[in-house]
Amino acid sequence: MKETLLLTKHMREFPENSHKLDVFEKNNGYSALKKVLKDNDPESVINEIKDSNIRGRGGAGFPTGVKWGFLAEDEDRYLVINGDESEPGTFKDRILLERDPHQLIEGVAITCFASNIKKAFIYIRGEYAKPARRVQDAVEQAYEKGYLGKNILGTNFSLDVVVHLGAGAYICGEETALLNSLEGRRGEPRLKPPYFPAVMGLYNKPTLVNNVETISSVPWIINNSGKEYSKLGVEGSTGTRIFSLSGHVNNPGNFEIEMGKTFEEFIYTFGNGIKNNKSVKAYIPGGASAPWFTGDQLDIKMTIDDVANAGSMLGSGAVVVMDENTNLVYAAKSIVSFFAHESCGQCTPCREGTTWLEMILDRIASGRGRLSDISLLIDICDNISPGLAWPPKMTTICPLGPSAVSPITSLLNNFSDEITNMLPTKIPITQ
Amino acid sequence: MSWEKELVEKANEIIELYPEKRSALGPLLYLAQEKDGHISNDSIVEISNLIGITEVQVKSVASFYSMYKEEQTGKYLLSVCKSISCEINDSRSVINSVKDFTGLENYETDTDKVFTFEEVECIGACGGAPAVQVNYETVEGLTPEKSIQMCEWLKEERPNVIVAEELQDKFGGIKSFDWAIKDNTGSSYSVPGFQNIGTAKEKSK
Repeated sequence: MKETLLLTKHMREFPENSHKLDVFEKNNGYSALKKVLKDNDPESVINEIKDSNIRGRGGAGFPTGVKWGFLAEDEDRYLVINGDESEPGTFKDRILLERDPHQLIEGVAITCFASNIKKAFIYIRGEYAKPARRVQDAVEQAYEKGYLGKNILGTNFSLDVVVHLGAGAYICGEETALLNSLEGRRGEPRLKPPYFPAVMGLYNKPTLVNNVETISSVPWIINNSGKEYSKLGVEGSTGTRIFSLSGHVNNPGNFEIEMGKTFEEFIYTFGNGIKNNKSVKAYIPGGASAPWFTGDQLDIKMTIDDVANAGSMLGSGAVVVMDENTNLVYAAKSIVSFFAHESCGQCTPCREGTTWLEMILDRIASGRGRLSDISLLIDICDNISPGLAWPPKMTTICPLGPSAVSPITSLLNNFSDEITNMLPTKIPITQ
Repeated sequence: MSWEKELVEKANEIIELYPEKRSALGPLLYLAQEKDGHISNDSIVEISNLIGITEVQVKSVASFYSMYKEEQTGKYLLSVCKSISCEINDSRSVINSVKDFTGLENYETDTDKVFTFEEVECIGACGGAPAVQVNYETVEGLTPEKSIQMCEWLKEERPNVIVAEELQDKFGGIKSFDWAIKDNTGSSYSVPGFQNIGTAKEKSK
């Protein structure tokens, strides 16, 4: 099993200076933008993206070409790049921003040309100071060389790009929360409908919101055609994907592969096996929001649909491996605490529910659990995500609340012993 | 203290970048954070005037985001990650040794205003767990011992600019990916070092 390098090829070939404009240019950089501007046919660009069947890399996996097709007519339209990568386990956008910022900027320029957009924002999470600096440097170089700004490469196409820093709120990865944040408001997700920012987004104008990895794929698709891209991977999950591998593996990192391999192959080939030759107790297939799989389920294929059919999601492509010695109650507590901390506080089931889940898990983990705690956990989870089904139903505006339910149902469905073993065996006399 | 002329000019430059003034609120709050180490009441008044929204609106946004601090931070903001990949790679011991060394609990600042300590959620360094940020510059693959050495070094050397590469070379271990590129810029206070808000600082050799 080998990597297939599309997005990470340039940075591998020129490790020490892949972020520099002259190096990027020498390696065929901005050739896709030049081609697109020369052909001057925006519609054909959108068709190439549709042909590629690429699905959004942020987590929801929405077909990118379809999203672009939704963009409503208006004089002011915007492109917003979602670089608020904060899903625990995920660090793939970080490498794209840090080490190949021009690839993203070229993708931004092509996307804006295709959709007649004159202003784009690259929203990067505040903690990514270094990646943001590299992108800002690259934006300035691109302006100097005429790849951005007025009359790009002598054509009628003009585009302004602003790099914007977030300020430490995971919820801003939710696209409507991100737009609120970019408008200078609290990062609270907007009530739907309207479902698509492409209809009503930034400043209530039609807005495309795309993930860093998605837009970084655009130059390759234009250079090689959407059809070539769709030949990679498998039907429904075309192309390559950068998976972030972390946890108890010998060799964590970002690996770009075609979708369709099994998790077992992935974890053992690239992760070089489990630390100290232990076995896998459980793993998270797509970031902290995703329900866990057990060590017996390593033969699931890494495609959006296969993972969904098995009861979880490929999400942001973050694989977190937990070995046989992991205390899964602590692991679940860590994930639930994350969501409790990051809840924006708008919806009662999420705001109150995640906090209570955290407190109950905390008392179980510290040996003060009660016999009734498991049914209490289930009851609270059911308030947030009725029926505890997958894909989750929700009583909240956005999926953050149900995400906190995932680790608890994972624990109770497959590892209930771990939690019951931490509870007292009988009711103490003092109660 | 109201804002000096230079800072107001910088703020206006930032406002110019956006189609609507209010979008500059986030970056302007960073200017305030860099000025005082927290979001002061004077800055709230100043920003509300610059953008044309009420003080309460400014405060409501500032209080939503964890990177705008209500209380003044120390020169070095130590943010130790405790999310899942770090948690299962024993970030708890790194947290405890930093707490022991600095004598600080979560969100506390020492009396000399050298360190502020906080336990934070995922900083996107999961492959290099456990990871820490100093003034939002990431150091990966720490151990309890190395984290104490890092704090000692910071306390003794008091570098003005925190450069991730320097800390990583001295105290870091396993990384999320090969960083490859050598950098010389970083952050100088509890604000991410970033050109647009004028906080990216170069380390002089």
